Amino acid sequence: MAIISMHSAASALTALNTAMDVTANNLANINTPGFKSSRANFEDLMYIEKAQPGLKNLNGDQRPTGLYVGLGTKVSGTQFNFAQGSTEQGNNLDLMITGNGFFRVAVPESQGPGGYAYTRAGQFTLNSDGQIVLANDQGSRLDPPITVGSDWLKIDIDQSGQVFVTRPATSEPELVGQISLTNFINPSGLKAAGNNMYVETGASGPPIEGNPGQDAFGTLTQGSFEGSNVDPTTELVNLIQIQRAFEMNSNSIRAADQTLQTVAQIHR
Amino acid sequence: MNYGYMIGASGIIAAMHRQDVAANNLANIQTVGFKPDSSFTIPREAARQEDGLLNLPSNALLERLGSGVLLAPNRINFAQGTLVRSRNPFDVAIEGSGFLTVAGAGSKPGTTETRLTRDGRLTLDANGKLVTVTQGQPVLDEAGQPITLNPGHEFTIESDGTISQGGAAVAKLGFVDVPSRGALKKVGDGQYALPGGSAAVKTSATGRIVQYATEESGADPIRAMMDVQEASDLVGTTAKIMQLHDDLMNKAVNTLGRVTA
Repeated sequence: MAIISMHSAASALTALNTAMDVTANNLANINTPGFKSSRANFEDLMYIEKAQPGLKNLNGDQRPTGLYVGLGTKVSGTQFNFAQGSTEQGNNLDLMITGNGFFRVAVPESQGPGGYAYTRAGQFTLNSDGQIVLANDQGSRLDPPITVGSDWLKIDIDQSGQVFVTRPATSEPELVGQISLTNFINPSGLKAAGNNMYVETGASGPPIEGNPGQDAFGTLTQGSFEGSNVDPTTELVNLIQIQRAFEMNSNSIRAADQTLQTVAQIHR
Repeated sequence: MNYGYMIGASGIIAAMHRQDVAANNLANIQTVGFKPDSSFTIPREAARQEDGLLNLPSNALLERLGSGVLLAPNRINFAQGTLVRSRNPFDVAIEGSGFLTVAGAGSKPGTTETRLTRDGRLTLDANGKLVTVTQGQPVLDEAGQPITLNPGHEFTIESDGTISQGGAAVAKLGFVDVPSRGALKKVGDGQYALPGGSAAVKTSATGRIVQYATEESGADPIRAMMDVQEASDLVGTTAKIMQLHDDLMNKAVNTLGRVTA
């Protein structure tokens, strides 16, 4: 009896703990480029049915409602919010996607299926081979690879992802490559792999490749990158709600304990 | 007569049940679309009535003696929860009365059964099918069929549930109500089973669907907490009454019945 109350409250404490972790991670990443906030999705657990609705009594009347007791709550999963983040001014090779899509970068096969990972953190730089790479500690190459060479004066990337390089020898910008974007049927199904990257899963569906501006893909803006989409006010309000809910549910446990204690003391 | 014991015990059992129900409400104060249960009690009829002994000679004292308490059916409080704005186009909330329909697991493996829900957190699965984010169950259209959207493309959901993509209506969310909500059965995951399965009578909903919003839990945390504590206190006082009855028996047996030399 009161044991059910205790378990309900305990399930809430566990779930709220997870929600607290998710919120804390969101707040920690308030300055992470391309970061997408997550939320913990709560749902109620199953119910014990003590009496079925619709049972008939001797008079032929039906019991109009049932009698059941819920068993608490759980976090069914966490879900990314892929809303557009803020626009941050960056250096020349920074790219921001306005709309849908991810940049594809090459990673070791062990980290992502097919050796690819996907990111919206468009902070790029060049490596020693003159290739465009992510400006993180891994230096993952943009895929398909784009090589600007060593003798570049100016790199221009247009909205549709075409990369032009101006060299000292020629006056006309030379087209050296096309940056493609990748989208997924269900981006919420992607797995966050850290380092601002996501990898494909069975739930996300296969990658869909296309050029920026085409079809459902977003467009690129050079010289800016996408900031975090964490809204500090929302997260702090969540944090307060979670904390209070936690307190109240711990009171539930105490009250249920009192009940059990009283019952245990009936027999003196 | 040890009648008081039984009455006290029935009170404790009922209070503990009410505590369980309130604790579940409190546990679900963060659950989107959750509707709290209210538990009720009804007086148990006097033994004379219950046993059909009304034609026997009356005893004024026993006539008025109640016999404890019984649990009445729970009722779900379907009052509107607060709508919270979200930035996810797949979040829909219902304002007013109505439910979304989803294909839940049926009683036999491999079968599905229509279930109702107020939790409109949706997403697309890997095949572009519109599903619930919590369990990945297909959300149904007006005809009870799953909905597939063109992934990656923007869409809008109107207040009657019409989903449009690229300016054309592509589907309409099943948005229904039932004649008797009391017959709905909670099955967890924010879903309700219909009394007669998928074939149950459904009426059209009078509420409206709001995109970019979720409906907060309808559980009132203060109320739920008070209920939990109140049940605890009730168990305490009822147990005290049982102890008094015990004292009474003690006196009756050991004091009243003592033969003094």
